[in-house]
Amino acid sequence: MSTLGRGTKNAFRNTTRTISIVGILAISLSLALIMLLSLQAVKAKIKSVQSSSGNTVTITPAGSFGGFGGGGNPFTSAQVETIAQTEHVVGIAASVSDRLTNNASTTPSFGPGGGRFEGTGGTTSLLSPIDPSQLAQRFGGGALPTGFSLPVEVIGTNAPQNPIAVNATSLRYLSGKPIDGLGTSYTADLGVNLAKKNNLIVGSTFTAYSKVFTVVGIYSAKTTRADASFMVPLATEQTLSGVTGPTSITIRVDSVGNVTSTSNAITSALGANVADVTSSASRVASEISDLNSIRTISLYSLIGALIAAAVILLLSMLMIVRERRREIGILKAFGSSNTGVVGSFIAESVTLTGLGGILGIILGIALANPVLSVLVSTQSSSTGGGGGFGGGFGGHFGGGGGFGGPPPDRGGGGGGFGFHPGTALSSLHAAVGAGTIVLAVFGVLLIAVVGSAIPAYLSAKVRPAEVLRGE
Amino acid sequence: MITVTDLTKTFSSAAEPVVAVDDVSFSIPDGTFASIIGRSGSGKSTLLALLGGLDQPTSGTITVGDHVISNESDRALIDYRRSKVGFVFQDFNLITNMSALENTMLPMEFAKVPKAERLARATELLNQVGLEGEKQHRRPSKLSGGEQQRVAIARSLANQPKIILADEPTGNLDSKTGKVIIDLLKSLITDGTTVIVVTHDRSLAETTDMVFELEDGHLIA
Repeated sequence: MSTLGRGTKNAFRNTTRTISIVGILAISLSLALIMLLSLQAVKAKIKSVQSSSGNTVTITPAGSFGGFGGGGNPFTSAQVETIAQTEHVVGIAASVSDRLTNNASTTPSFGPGGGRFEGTGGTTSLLSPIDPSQLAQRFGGGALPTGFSLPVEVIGTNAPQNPIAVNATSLRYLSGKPIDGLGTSYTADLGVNLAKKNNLIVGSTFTAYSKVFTVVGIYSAKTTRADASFMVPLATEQTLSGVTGPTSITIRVDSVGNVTSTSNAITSALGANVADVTSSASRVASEISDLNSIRTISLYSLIGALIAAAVILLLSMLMIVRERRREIGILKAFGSSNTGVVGSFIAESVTLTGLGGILGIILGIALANPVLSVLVSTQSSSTGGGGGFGGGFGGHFGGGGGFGGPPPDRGGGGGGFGFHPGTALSSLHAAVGAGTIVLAVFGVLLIAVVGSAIPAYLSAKVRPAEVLRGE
Repeated sequence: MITVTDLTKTFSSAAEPVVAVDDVSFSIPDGTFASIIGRSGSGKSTLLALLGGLDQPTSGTITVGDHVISNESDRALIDYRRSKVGFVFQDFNLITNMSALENTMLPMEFAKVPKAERLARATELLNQVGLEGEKQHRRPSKLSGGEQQRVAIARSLANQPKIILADEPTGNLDSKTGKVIIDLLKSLITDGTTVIVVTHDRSLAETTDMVFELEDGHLIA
């Protein structure tokens, strides 16, 4: 019988003890695996949430609702330069946006107060591709007047090729080319839905602010809002709307992790009460906080379970070595080397841990999601859940009953769609991949080695004459 | 030839050092059946452990053939025990979860003897000591004291050692079985194998070729 064979056989010398050790190890290792899977699930979710929050930051004059809503002064050239020079800023798009009413559109009669659509009062020949009928019913205003159209958003920008100009993550020109954002021409790039609604192609013309614009490009940004708007050169829009500087600056930060620090740096650089700096990252802060709590619990539980498993094995093997001191002496008396004796104990330890590990992995896989659910529900109840639609539409729809204020994805203005902290938590799922299993097996082997190192060392120190004489 | 010169072994203790073997010198020719007698605590077992390379002397030398084993490294002593010495203990010291056959094969495993050869030789040895057939596959707990000591003797002979050291081999056996075991040991002396038996049974010692008597660590006869 080889050293390994003897060690393996020794693992089954005492059935009751073997079952006890393997059982306790299995529980510890399954808990460790569950916590590892939870940790991975939470990390993936945090990454996903952070990714979905994007790495863009929108800066508007303080108190403004975006566009021409609310107060605040347009940014100066110096302020734009300050923002552009802030660390981690890798892209910047300055814009002035306006909402233009269709020349033939009828003023809606629904909503509290009635009134015009917020903007400079400019008009256009374009019709919005967004269907307004549901909005009318939602606000209790009854049927819309014949010929009514939602306002069309015009964006004056110096960076028409940059998707952040239209607050999107991608921008593709389907035909034509981008306008010259630094020029002063009456040219425009139209969102694909806006172009289709008005039967416009590259080379077609339309009117805005009583000026004739030529379509030079048609783009798709794959968002309803962007594809229903159009872009003109920044200077052109400033001239026509009478706004002297950009009223909205969107920047791209080099990584999601730097969004918060960059936002703070810009706020600090521009001075107090100068600008509202908002990022979608701030909206997910609460969610990330909940996820971080679960991550912390999982991490400490993982470490605790691994230590518990190692200690259980260590104590068990210490007990076994102590019990077999005489046997070790006999083996050495008949010519077994220290390596042979140590190898035999390590083989025994690996066998016990391996059995515990196999059972633990099976248990861990089976129980990972139920335990994660318990963790999530505990966390949700401790944070109070929250959620639903926070703030209603108060900010989105401006005072006086008209439409106005910022679009929901730009925040500000006191509302928009509130954040539901439970969303990410409830969608947490622990998935078992091959990498996790490899990691678990590696962990089991590590525990076997760590747990048997001291007992093996003690077995090597046993002097045969002492145990054969003294016991 | 085993030559012991000025051999001393002192054990440290909390109170004061204990001299277990004190300045002992003697020689034993090859092929001799020798005995060491003395009362409990006289240093017999310590002397046997020193001769077997289980322990290191405090001073003095032990020479086996032309090989000085005192002050050897642990690794060298392992090789010495593996190739030149066989042990028989009073309480047998068999491995409890191994069969008689596996216990007998154990020293050969350490000497890296091929498995087939181990099995054949262990079977032959057990047959020689009178443990045949199904009994060879029994664990020690299923064997009588005499049978266990036969297994221990077979195990001690596994690597064809030049020296067999037996520490009170009949101590746990009745007198009849004890005599059988001693006769068995005597019958196994072949090709110059030296047997040294530690005993406090003077009648048993008188049947051996040489008798050494220890008292308080000193060799008095």
